[in-house]
Amino acid sequence: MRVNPILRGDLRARASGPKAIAGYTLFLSVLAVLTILSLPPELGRRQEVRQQDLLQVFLIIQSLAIVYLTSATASGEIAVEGEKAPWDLAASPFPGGVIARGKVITSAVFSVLLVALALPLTVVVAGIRGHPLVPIAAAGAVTIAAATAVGTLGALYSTLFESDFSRSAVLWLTLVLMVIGVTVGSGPWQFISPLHAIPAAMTGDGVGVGVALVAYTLLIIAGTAALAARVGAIRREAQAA
Amino acid sequence: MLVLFVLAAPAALASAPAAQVTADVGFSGWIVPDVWIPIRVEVTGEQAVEGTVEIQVGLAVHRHPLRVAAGGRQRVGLSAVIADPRRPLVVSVRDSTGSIVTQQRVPLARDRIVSGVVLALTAEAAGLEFLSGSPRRQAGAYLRERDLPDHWAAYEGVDLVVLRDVDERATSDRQRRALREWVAQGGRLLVTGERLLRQRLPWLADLLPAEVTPLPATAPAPFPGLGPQSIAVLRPKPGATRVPSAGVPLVVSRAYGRGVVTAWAFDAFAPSVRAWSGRVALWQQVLPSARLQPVARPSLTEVVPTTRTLSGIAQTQIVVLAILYVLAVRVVLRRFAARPGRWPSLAAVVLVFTLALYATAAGARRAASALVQMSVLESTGAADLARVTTYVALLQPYGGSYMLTPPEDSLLRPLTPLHYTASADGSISGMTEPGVFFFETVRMISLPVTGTAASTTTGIEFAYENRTGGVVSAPAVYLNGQSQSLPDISARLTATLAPGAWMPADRNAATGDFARDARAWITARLDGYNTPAIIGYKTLWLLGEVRDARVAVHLQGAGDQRRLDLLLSPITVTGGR
Repeated sequence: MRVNPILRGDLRARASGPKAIAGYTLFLSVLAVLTILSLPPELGRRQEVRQQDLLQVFLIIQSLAIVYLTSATASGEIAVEGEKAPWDLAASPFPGGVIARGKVITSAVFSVLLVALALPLTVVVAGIRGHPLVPIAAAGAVTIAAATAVGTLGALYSTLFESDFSRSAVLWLTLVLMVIGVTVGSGPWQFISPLHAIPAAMTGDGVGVGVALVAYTLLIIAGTAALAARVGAIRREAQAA
Repeated sequence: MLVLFVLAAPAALASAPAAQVTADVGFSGWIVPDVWIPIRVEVTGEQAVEGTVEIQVGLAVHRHPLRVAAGGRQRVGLSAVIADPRRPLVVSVRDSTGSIVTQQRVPLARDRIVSGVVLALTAEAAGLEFLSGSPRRQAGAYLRERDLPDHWAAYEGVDLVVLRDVDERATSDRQRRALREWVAQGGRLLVTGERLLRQRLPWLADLLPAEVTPLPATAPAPFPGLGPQSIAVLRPKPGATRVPSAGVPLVVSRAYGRGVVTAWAFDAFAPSVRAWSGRVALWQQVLPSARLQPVARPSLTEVVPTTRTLSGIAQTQIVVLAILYVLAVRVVLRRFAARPGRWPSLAAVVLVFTLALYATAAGARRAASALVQMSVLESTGAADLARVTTYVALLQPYGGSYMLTPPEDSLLRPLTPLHYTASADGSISGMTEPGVFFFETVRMISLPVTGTAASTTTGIEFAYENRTGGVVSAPAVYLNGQSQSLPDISARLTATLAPGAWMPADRNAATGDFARDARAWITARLDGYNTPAIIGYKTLWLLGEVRDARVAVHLQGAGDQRRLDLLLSPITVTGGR
């Protein structure tokens, strides 16, 4: 099986650079602290709802962290040594579609990696409360889809905005819109936000999870197409120049 | 006498059933709901049967071993609480493989449900007919010796026990002890008829309010309208009340612990007395208006803690494993940075730590099942007997199976509706959903403590003797809503309770401090606790903490259990106003 060359290069960079390793350490340290803080001080509380809330908060914070890290690395807000941006790759011989798919798959694999790294800490928070693991897995799937979608947009932004400030501003605007903006009102669109999609996954709300996954998938498809088109445009501009 | 004779239906078998079942619920079929009542099941083996007999009472299944030979019979007696009389009892006989040999439903008649029962141990089943018009919906039941409960708690629904014809040889030690213990903790006993009184049965002598001379006498007109009666000659014991106040005593009453024992020198069931128009008024004097309740009541569970801190060991394990995990990921990424084995190595680290951390969390979860229990040891003041009521909170934060073993000779029941199986040894087991489940267990124990209090011009001279061998810690005395703290009592304490030293009693039972809340709850209960004729406004209560292993309920598989044992002694203040 041929591995997408963009993916292979990006993963190598994200697994070996000192900055990347420090990033994983920081990510896991934050989650470890969160895990310790979310240990129930007392077992057997009558208000089991509160206990559920703590698990939910843990999963939402974890999800938001993964969404941010995936999109920030994809957009270049967090630069990883050795990783080439789509703009640089436009000058390479790879077709635009391969570059776009490579960047999107990199975001997907990176978010899977982060969810997997968080797994031992997640099972502590869930396990000590006796929470079934299947809804936790569903929450993980929602996180991966959301992170991939925003990672795709991040990669697209890196080709659209040359200025770091503009890129970061648009990325943050996107994140705010996705996390908070869609929660305005009470329509099904609110499930696009992890704030609603994670609880929906934990409670087995199939409709909520379905809405979120469909929305994220559409974003990924549209973002991939736009990214491929944008790489092609950059290539044409460079050739014209 | 209504006895529910139930012959086993051969539904389960094509041939004749291997066993027949006879069930007697309550007292002669009279059932008082929500209190302990006796249930007797007799299994007659048409063929030899070895296995179990199961009696399903509401949500509970009582399981007892069974071994009957062909033609033989086995009697199974138990005490049970019927919360919903609409549900029939189901009696099943199972063989050693667990297969049902015989199963029978025993419907409970709604018209047999009463608020209280008057038991009469008499050879002639007559004399309590007047109870049929009782406003309290009382019923009279005529028993023989073999029908007497062998546990005091089975008398919980009984308003009065009348002894008239007693064949001592037909009673067991357990039955006699059960009757004495029930009276001591608040029951009412009437001993009637010169024939029984003159027998001067040793086990009854301590209970009786009077000494009895061996020879009978005749009262020509004991009460207006009643003809000559053969009577026992009674010599009232100190502290007893008598009617008439002068002359030959016909009615003598005396407190026995928290209960009352009355002796009628004449035979209440003699034909002439049964026909006498004044008999009902006489019975009304001996029948209580309400059964005496113990101080400890199920609402005391409100102060029992229902949470438990996560163990320090579990917390430390999780913290250490989490730190090790972060370091392990860092080491793997650094060491295998550009090597082909980095992803499998990382996956192995994630897998190992996932399993280790999940196992730790699951272990902490399992250890979370715990018992919190509070016992109130209520001294009765009779024969060093104390009634012990223990309220148990079973903490099952994550549900699962449990098995509770109560102290010896005690009865245990859930206060939370729960399916469970009760064994012959009194232990109960079952499965629960996540949550907190409350249980109550009752028993009588020997508790040699005595107190005296005499009102003087300088205050109350208080003396307390503790012969239990243990220490009564943090004792305090309560009187009419006020309290005074005392030093710990290891053997004997004498003190003068000065009038100026009384403080308003603490009634805040919601501080979160287990012992303080429990004491405040009891204090508040004492304010409204009224025991007519026995415990009045001049009763001083001593409340202290003790440690008594005899009252502990055990949860199988659980380690540390939180317990609070409180001693409560009523002491009558003599002298003064």
